[in-house]
Amino acid sequence: MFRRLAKRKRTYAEFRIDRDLETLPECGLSRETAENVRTIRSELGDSSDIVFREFRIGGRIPAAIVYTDGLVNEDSVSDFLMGSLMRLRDPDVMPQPGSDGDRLLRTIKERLLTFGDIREIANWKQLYPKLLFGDAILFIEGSAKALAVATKGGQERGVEEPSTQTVIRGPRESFTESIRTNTSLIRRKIRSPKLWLEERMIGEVTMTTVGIMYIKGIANEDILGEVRRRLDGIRIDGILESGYIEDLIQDEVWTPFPTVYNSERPDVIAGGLLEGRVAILVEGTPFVLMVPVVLDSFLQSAEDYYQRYDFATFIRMLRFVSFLIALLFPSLYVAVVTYHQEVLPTSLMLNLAAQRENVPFPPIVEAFVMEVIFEILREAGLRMPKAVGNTISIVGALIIGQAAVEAGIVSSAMVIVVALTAITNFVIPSLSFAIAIRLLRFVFLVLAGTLGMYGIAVGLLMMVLHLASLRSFGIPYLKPFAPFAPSGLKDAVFRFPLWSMNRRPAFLSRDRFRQGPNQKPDKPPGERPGEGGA
Amino acid sequence: MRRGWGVLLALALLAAGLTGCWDIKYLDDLGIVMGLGLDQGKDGKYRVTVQIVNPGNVATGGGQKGGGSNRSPVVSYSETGNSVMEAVRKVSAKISRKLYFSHNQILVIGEDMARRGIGQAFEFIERDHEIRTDFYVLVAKGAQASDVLTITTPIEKIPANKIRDNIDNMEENLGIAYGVTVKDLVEDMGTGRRQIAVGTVEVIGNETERSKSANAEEIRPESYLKFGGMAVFKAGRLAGYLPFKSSRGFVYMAGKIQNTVIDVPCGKSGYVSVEVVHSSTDMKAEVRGGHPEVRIHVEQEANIGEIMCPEIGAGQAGTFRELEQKVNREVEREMRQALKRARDWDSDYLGLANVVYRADPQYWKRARDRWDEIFPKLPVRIEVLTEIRREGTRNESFYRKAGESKNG
Repeated sequence: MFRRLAKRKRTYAEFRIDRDLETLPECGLSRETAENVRTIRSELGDSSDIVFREFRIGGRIPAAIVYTDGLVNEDSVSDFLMGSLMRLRDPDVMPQPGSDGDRLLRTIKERLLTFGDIREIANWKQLYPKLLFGDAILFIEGSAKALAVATKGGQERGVEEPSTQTVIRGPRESFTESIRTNTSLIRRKIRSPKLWLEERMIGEVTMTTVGIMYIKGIANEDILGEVRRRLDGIRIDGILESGYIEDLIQDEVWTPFPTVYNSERPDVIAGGLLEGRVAILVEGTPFVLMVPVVLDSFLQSAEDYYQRYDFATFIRMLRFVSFLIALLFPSLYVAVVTYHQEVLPTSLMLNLAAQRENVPFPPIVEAFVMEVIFEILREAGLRMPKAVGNTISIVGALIIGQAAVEAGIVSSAMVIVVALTAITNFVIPSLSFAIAIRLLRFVFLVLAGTLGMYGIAVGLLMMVLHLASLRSFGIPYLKPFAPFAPSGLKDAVFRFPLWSMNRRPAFLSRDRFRQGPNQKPDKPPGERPGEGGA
Repeated sequence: MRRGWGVLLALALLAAGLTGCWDIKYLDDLGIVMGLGLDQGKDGKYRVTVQIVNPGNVATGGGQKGGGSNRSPVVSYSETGNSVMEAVRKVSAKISRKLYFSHNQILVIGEDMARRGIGQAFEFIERDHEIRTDFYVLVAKGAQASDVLTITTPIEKIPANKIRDNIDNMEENLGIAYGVTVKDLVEDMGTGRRQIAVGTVEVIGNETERSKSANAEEIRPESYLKFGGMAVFKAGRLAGYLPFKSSRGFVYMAGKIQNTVIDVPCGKSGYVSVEVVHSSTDMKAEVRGGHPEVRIHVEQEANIGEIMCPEIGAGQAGTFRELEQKVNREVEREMRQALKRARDWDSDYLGLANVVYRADPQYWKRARDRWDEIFPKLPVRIEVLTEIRREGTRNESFYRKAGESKNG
C-alpha cells in the first residue's frame, strides 16, 4: 500500500499547474503594434472584456492601448492617458515619423504621462499579469517595449463596519476585499517606517496577491522566515480566500483548533503586529491572517484593551467560563442525569426527575437530537435571506422548543441546557475557535453518554494533552499557561493595566520593551503622598 | 513502530469502552428513597419501610403533563426480612422502579427496634456505596417507624423533608435536640467511648386518617408529627428519653446550642426570658493521681427577650449581672439533670469517657475496663458564664408607668 502511495506522490510532483504560464512566449514583444495586438487577442481568446484601442500619438505615430474593462479607472485611461497622447502638440516631444520607437517610449514615460506607477515591459510574461491586474498597456509602433500604466480602478466595496468581532467601544472600520485598501488601513494605524510589506503572487491560475506585513525589529525573524518558507512552498491553482492559505500553512492539520488567527479588524491586526506577530493579507478577502497565535488569543477581544482593565478582566473570566459551559454543559448534564444522580441537590434532582417522567428518549439521545436541531437552525439562519431570517428563528427557537417540551418529546431542562450552550458559544470572540468548540461538544456528549463523568474527565485530559502538543509556527499553543510564563499571565486570564505591561510577550519578540518605565499615571504635584500640602 | 502505536491506541480505546454504561440509570427509572424506617418484625426479623417520591407530584410547574395532582407526592412501602438488605430488596416486588438511596434524608427507628438494639442495622447502611451517611437518625417515640413514614404533612410535600427540616429548625431555634447523622453514630459506636443519643419524633392524633392527603389539607391536621428531646441509648439499646430541660442540658454539653430561650423567675410569679444567641462549650478532663475530673465551661452571649416583672428595669445597673447569675444557675441545673440521667441509666451519652481519653490516653487504657465503676462517681465541675448584651428595643417595660402590671 505504501508503495502505491509513493508512486502516486511522484506523479503529483510531475504535475505542473503553472504549465500554462510556462508556455507563454518568453520572447520579447514585436516592434509592430498591430502584431502585438493580434498576439494578445489570440492569447486571451478574444475575450470581450479586453479593450483594444488603436490610435495615433499626436496624430502621427500608430499606437494602441489595451486594458481590461472593469479593472481600470475609465476616466484616467481616457482623460489622462489617451487624452494627453492624442492631443500632443508639444514640438519638443512631438515624434517624427521614422524616429526611434524606444526613445519615443521613454520620452512619453518621462515627460508626458502624469501617472505615479509606470513600468516598461519587455516580454509577454511580464505583460499579462499587468494587464489582468488592471494596468493599461501602451504599445508604440517601432518599440519592442510597452508601458504598463497603473490605472487600477473599478468597482470595489468601501470600508464598512466589521460584521464579526464587533465591539461597542473601538474603531468601526473593517478590511475589504482589496489588499491595497487593507494595507492602507494598517498603515494608517502604524506610521512607522519599520512597518514592512512583502508581496508575492500565489495561485498559478488566480495569481492572487498575498502580502506579509510585519514590523521590522519587533517581529521575530525566525518566525518571519518560517512564514516566507511556508508561503513560498504553496503550489496550487487558486487562492480565493485566506482560508486557503490558512489550510496550507498551519502547523497541525489533524486538529479542530485553529493555529492561525484571522480577523477583519485592522486594530486587532495592528495590535498583533505591535506584539511582534506577522500578518498575512490576501487579495479578495477581508479576513487577514496572523501568526503565531496561542489558544488564549481566541478568547480575547480588541475591546479588552479599550475598556477599563478591571472590567476587561471580568469579561475575560466570563469568556473562560462561557468557553467551559459551551464545551461541557450538555455533556455534564447528560452524565449527571444518567450516571451521577447523587451529585444533584435533592430538590433539583426531583425537579429533573419530574421533567423526565414522560420523555421517551434517554438523555443522551435527547441531547444529541436537540444539539443537532440547534445546529441546523443556526446553519439555516446563516443561509437564509435576511428578510425571512427573523421569522424562521422565531419559529425554530420558540415554537419548536416550546412545542417539543409540551408534547413531552424533550424535557424543558434540556432546552435550557441547549439554549445556554448556544448562547455561551456566541461569547467566544473568534468564530474559528467557536467552531472547534461546537465540534468537540459532540465528542464530549458521546463520552458522557457512554462513560459518564469518567468519560468527560478522560476527554478533557486528552484535549489538554492535544492542546499542549499543538504549535503555531513553533510557538506552544498553551503559552503562557504551559510552558508557564508568569509574566504572560498579565495579559491572559487577567488584563493588567496598560502601564503595568511594560514588555511584549517574550515568545513573540526579542525587542522586549514596549513602553518606558513608570507609566502609571501620577497625581498632580501637590497631591502626591509624602510631599505635604493638601 | 508506527503500527505499534496504532495497535496501542486501539487497545486503549477498547479498554476505555469496557468501563462504559454498566451503571447507567435513567432518572425516570429511579424510585428515589427519601425516608428509611427500621422496625422490629416478627421472629427477630427487620421490617424496613421506604418512603419513595413520586416526582411528578412534587415538582410544581415545568408544564409536564401526566401525573394527576391529586396523587400523593410520596408512597411508603414496608417489607420484612432477615437482614436489612434483604428487606430492602423485597420492596422491589411492590414498586416499578429501582430503589435509589443517594438522596435519602432521614432514618427513623421504631421504638421496639430501638429497645432491641440498632447496632447491626447500621451495617448495611454504612456499607452500601449508594447510601450516604449524612442523613439524620431519629427514634419514633412510642411508635413504629412505619407510622412516622406514612403520615402526610401539610407544608412540606415530602414528609421526609419535613422531618429533616424540623430537626434543623429545632437545632437552630429551640436547642433541645440536634441532628445526629449516621456518620456520627457509626463513629461513636466505633470508638465505644460514647453512648449514642438521637432525636425523637412522636406521632400525634388519629391513626386511620394520618396517611390520607385530606389530613394535610386541613388547617388543624388530625394527625401530625411532634419532635421532642433526645433519646439515649446504652450499648446500642434505647435507655430512655430525655425530657425538655435535661435534653437541653445535654445539647449544652454537646456544644450544639445555636439559639435557645431560657426562662428565669422574677418577682412573685413572673419570668424573664433570655435569648441565648451564641454559646460555646469547652469540655476538658484532667487526671490527677489516677483520679479523673471533668470540667465543663460554657460561655454564652444573650439578649433579654421578655420581662414580665415591672420592677426590673433593663436599663438599671446591676440588672444584667443579676439576670446573668440566674441564667448561669439555670443552665448548670439543666446540665446537672442531664448528668443525673446519664448516671441513672448508666449510659455515658455525654461522651465524658471520650474527654478523659483525650486528656490522658494512657490512663484511659488502664481505666477502660473499670469505667462502669468510675463513671457514677466521676466529679464534674460546671461553670457557666453568661453575658447579656442587649435588652431589645426598649429599657423599661411599657407598662411599668401605667402601673397595671399583673404582678403589681
